[in-house]
Amino acid sequence: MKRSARDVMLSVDADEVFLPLVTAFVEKAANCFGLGMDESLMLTLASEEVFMHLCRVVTSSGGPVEIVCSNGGYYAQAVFSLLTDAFDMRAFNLTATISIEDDADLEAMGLVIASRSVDRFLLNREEGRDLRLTLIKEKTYPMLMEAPPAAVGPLAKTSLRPPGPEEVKFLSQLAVSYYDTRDLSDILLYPGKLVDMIKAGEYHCLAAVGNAGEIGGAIFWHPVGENTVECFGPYVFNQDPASNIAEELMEGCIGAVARTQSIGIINTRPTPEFSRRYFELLGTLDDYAPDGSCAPVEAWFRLLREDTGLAVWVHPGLDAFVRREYARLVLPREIRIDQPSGETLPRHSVLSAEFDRLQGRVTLRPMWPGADAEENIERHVRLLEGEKVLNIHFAVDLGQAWQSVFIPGLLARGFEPRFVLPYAGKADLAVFQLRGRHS
Amino acid sequence: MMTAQPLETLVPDYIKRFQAYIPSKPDDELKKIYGCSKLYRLNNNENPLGPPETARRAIEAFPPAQASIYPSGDAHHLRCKLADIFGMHPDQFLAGNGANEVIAFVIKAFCQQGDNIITADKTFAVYEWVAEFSGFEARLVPLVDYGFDASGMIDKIDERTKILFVCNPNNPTGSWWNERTLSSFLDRIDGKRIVVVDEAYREFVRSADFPDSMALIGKYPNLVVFRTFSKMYGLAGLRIGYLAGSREVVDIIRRTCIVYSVNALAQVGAFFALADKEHIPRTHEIVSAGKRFLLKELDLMGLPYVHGEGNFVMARLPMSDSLAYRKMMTRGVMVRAMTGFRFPNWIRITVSCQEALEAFVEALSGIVKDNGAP
Repeated sequence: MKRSARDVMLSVDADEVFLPLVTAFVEKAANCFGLGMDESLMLTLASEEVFMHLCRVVTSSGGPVEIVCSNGGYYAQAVFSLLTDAFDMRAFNLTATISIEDDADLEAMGLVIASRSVDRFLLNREEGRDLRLTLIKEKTYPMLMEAPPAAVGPLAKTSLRPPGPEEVKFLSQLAVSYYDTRDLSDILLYPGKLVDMIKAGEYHCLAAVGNAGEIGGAIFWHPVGENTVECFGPYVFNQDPASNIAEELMEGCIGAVARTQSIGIINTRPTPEFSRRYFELLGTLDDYAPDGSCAPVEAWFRLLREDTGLAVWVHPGLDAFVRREYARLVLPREIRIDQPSGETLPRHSVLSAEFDRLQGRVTLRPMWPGADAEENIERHVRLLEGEKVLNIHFAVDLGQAWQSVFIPGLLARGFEPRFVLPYAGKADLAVFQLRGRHS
Repeated sequence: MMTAQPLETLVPDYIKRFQAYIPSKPDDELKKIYGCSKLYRLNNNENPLGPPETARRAIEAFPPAQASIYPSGDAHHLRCKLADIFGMHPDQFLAGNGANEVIAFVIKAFCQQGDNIITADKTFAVYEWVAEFSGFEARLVPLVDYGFDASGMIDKIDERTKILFVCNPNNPTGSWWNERTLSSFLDRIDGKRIVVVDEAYREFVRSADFPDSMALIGKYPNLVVFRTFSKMYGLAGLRIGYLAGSREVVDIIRRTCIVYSVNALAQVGAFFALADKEHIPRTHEIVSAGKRFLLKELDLMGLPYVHGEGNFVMARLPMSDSLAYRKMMTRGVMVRAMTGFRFPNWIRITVSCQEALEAFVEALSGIVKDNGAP
């Protein structure tokens, strides 16, 4: 957990007597961090439900609950930390439902409310059973306004620099004017959010700018996880195809992240100007559109460092696939075969769901193992198909042996492994896609 | 019971932002990982001849019992020897555990909170790293035609600029400033900042108008010169380098210098390496012949390259350098992938002995061919 001078912290016992203090603390912090009234109340509601739940289930362990609220610029978050092993996280599944006949379900209802009240939640449990639950609520931003298409003329000479806030908003207009939605990150449709994310250091941009400040192109990137950067673009606006702008933008982006903690860069929406010789093709995904069409989407990747090897945990059902991919990509890996062998698992698994509404895509990720892994996958697929999500992906971290419990269920339900994304988790990620169109 | 993460609160923000350098694994591990039986090391610009014969004999004669005795805390005999060679005072030299350590000495000696250093964006990374993990800003100036941009560096100076680092010849491009350029730069700095000239590859230089920076110290007391025994003198495994400057400046740097950081064997090896008269000419011959061979082969492969002074050549590939690195490793050849130097798709090759270079050419040509003509 990052902690900065902007954080505020409250430490209380898991006792309902502190509930008013907890809710007032979170609400005031969210207000101070710039969330609107509605968003502040939603984060407060989620925090209230989480705290109440903690009071019920962890009282016996008697430890304090630490709540840290942070300002992420475009969001506020509340992080609950405590030592406990008495916490059933089933309610944090997208699919969680409550039966009023079942007392245990009723007890978890608060968590269901909490999970639905925030935009994102993260669960971490370190050794020593330090549970950390993060609730994130984003500010509400308007979509890009309808405006006449933005235009720019060919530029004789450009140089690269980070754009200012107004230029970022103009870049959004240019990108929407010159590119198909499929080539765009949805963040470009929310220019205000993009400006705030750049300010918060969560997004980065380089623009190719002419002598008079005209913008000829841009590239965006942001970290995904600790080790990977995802880049979008390069976007080039009405420039001479013989110009070097696209390559300069790509080299600028790679150079900017080359000496950071990132190990690799991925691009899953290569524009026509994207130079493949800087990257390696990982594989493709099928991109189903509402009009019934399906287009292959290439996933491109490059390492920023010399690869000195890695150990990965692989379920036998995935063994042949990963061996083939590692050989093709010349990635040195020590493959350790692993599968559940009768050891006791928690009853309920947890999956997170990351939506990309613009692309009609959702990516599921294991957050907690459980004996119901296969059923949980099935429940999520049913729910997402019911919600007309066209593209359902699943990412398994090969650096976390416990995630192999999900592999049989994935393969049985019709998920296909599509590519391996190096270093995108604790080790590499295996990315699956559910076969066929789901609507 | 502890629920907070106190460690987080102890770590300065500039350390949280900083990524630790992960060095290559040992050769035996790498060979196992990549499945190769032999490994040609063309990644660290090491001298294929190894240490000079004089140093080799001194190392072999080093009495094991002496390992229990502390070395000279300030490399006394070596500094005296250097003073003899360059016609300077021993107190004008400081030895370090490799030249990397003396970079830290200088930055610690002159920078405080809010200060900055200036160097190039595409050069040896350690100046930038040491500044950043010490909490100081590293201002980076783009290379111009693969060389350090004197005017660009001067334009970046503000009242908090303390040190300007010039890598001469530049690692990895081999570009270099001649005496006139360096003197003009020092004149423009006018003694108001420390100018460090890192001459790690000085002994490989053949150009006649390369600056005699040791002599320039007399005229420019703000000039600090770095040298190393890791490259030409083949003592990289012992970790020893040094800096030279005016007595006034070195006296200040000495205050941040860690005494006893240079071990006894390294001091002995370096001392005797300086006495060898044949080692440098022999190395020059190998590097000259190797460069001729390498450049001809790169031409045949149609690959652009950059080189200058120094025992290395940088080539541009029609593919990711990190992919090329992995493919080369499976063929038993280790080069330096240059993305970390902000040269994506470039590799740096040490100009080594003929056998190693032939192995490199065979491996690279196969990879380029597999990838399609550039």
